[in-house]
Amino acid sequence: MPWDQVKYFGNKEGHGKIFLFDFKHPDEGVRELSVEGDSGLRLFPHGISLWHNKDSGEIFLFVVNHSPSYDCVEKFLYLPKKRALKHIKTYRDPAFRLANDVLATGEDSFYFTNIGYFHSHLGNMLELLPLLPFGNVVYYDGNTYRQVVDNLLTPNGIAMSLDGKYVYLCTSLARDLMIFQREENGNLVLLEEVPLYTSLDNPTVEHATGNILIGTQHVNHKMIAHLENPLVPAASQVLLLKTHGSNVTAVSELYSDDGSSLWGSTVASLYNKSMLIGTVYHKLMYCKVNVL
Amino acid sequence: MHEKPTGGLVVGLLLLVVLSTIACGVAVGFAVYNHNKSADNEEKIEQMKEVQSLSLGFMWEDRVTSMPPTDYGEFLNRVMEESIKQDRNSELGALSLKTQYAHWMGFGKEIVSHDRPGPCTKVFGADGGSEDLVILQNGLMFMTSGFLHPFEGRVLLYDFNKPNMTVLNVNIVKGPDSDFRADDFHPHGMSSWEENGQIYLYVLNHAKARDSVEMFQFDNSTQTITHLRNFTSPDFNFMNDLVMVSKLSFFITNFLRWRDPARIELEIRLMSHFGTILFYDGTKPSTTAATTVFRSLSMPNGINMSPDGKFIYVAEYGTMNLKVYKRNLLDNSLTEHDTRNTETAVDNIAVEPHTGDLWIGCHPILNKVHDYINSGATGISPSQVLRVKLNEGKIVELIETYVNDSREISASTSAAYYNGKMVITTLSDNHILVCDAVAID
Repeated sequence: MPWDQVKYFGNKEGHGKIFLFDFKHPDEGVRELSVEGDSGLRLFPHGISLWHNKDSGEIFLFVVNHSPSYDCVEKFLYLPKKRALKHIKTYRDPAFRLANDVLATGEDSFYFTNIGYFHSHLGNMLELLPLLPFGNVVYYDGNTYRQVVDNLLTPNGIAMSLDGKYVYLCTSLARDLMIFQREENGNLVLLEEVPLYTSLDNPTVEHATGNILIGTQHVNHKMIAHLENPLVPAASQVLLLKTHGSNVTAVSELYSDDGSSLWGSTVASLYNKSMLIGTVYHKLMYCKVNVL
Repeated sequence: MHEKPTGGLVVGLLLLVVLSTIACGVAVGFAVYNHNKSADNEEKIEQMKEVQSLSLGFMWEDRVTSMPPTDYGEFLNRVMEESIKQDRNSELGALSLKTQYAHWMGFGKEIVSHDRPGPCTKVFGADGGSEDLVILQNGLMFMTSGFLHPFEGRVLLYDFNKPNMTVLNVNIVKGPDSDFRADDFHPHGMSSWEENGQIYLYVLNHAKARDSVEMFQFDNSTQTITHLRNFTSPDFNFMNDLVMVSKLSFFITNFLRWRDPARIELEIRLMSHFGTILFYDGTKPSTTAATTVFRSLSMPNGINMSPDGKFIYVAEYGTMNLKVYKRNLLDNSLTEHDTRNTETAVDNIAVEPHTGDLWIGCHPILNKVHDYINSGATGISPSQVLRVKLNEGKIVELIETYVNDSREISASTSAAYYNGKMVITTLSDNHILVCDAVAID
């Protein structure tokens, strides 16, 4: 979060990083991608999304970037040969409040979530204590920024189904997965709210099946303490939701931990019976999945 | 001629007056005293009812008030005293009884995911349920059935070596000294003992008069069990499960202090700690056979023993704790060795002989299983299986191996592992569940 930037980096030249992991070569571990272009860029990343241009083969990365005064989205072009990212553009607008995640829908269009209205730590606390639903989802169509969903309580991660028809939105304190129908003009129509009784963070969609994997937090108070102090353990959980069209047909808990192995899981990715679980401050976990 | 009254007559009259005054006084005093005493009791009970209602937030039910007032007044007093004295689940100890009860009962808890260790099959034939199980070395599994009304008490059999067969009923034959009555057989927990090639089964029976343990011998050739004798004791209240340490001796859990529905409900609602563990020496007469080895437990449910006999495992249902006791092999006394809060209502424990792992049938949402029992097995109750790994009697890891919202199996009470398969038995489903235990490490 933006106030942590000051806490951890202060006036020093610290910055965030973007890593690459290859499921086909898991033993190579994670590699940092260097960033070219715009030396003034100070990256403090949060949510990330990928747009693959099928015709040109280009891969674009959209990343939510925090700074103490404002939030924005940075666009990068992935340069596979150099294992680097080239900074292309910064999207900045007053529509960015306290941004969390981004969902790319084209080379120059995306959705992003505002987890809250106030950008300051105090403002965020005052907003969340009475559980005020001041979060929203905004759509940028290449020209203008437009709010498409309003009155949300802590909308967190956002992802899209493989065919682009449905948008999946995770809410943290509201503990629901919201499934929207995506319209031509970018509007979102609410189809279903799936209660999962655990704090949802980021969803990813599995390429082979279209199933949704969500990194979640089932012990909230531990996570809040962990966010304040990274040395305090937090629990971890990963849920798998099987989908059929816009319906969720089954829910399965793939991973659950009280903090003995992994602290604070926020996202999980499944590829060919292997799973990578990501956390806020802790490590990455790579698992073999033999239950499916 | 009129004479004046003599002094004697005056004294006599005075005496009469004085005595009658005293007598009246005594009579009135007695009446007043009696009246106050019963009014006191009534008032006291009314006050306590109010306190109970306020603290528990429940409507006082008529059937509880049908108990004689002095009797349940005393009972309430004792229960409240015991409840205040005991230290419950330490993290929740500071909360009010009502909040603790709501947490224990799982109000607001939901089962969302369905997780299995592998593909599962329903095996039918377990009508009346299959509350507890024992698995013999040769792959025969016996289960008790008929815990809930109006099902009849039976013993069931499933053979792991013949997986395509259904669950079968085992015929009960009376032995020469047996006083077994099929219409007074309401089985609950069970244990087994194998010695010199003989197989003995011990079933806890909630007989009308008093709980007793029925001893049977299994005849493999006829596939019947012969009732040999029973064990009972004046110390048996509402028992639950037992584990044999020899052919005639066992540890047994005293689940509840009371046996009638009204008092049981009260005991549960006030989360009482009247549970005990008894050691029963079957070589002694029934009046002296039982000794209390541990007291003040909150509804101890399933009980079992480590393969080397050194540790006794108890599922403490009322606190949701799994307890490990170190057993003194000489005098069968128990000392606390380890305890772990499981956050689920742990029922029966099975011990896997090769690894020493515990497999526990659990009720993840307690209010649902209580409604299920009270309504005569209607409704649903989710199921869950915990597997516990231990090292030298210390609990190392708790693993949730199976969870289901009741669609596949409802109100799981026991679970066990045999030869690559996990089995789950229930309170009153007409099937058991056998799963391939593929995804376990």
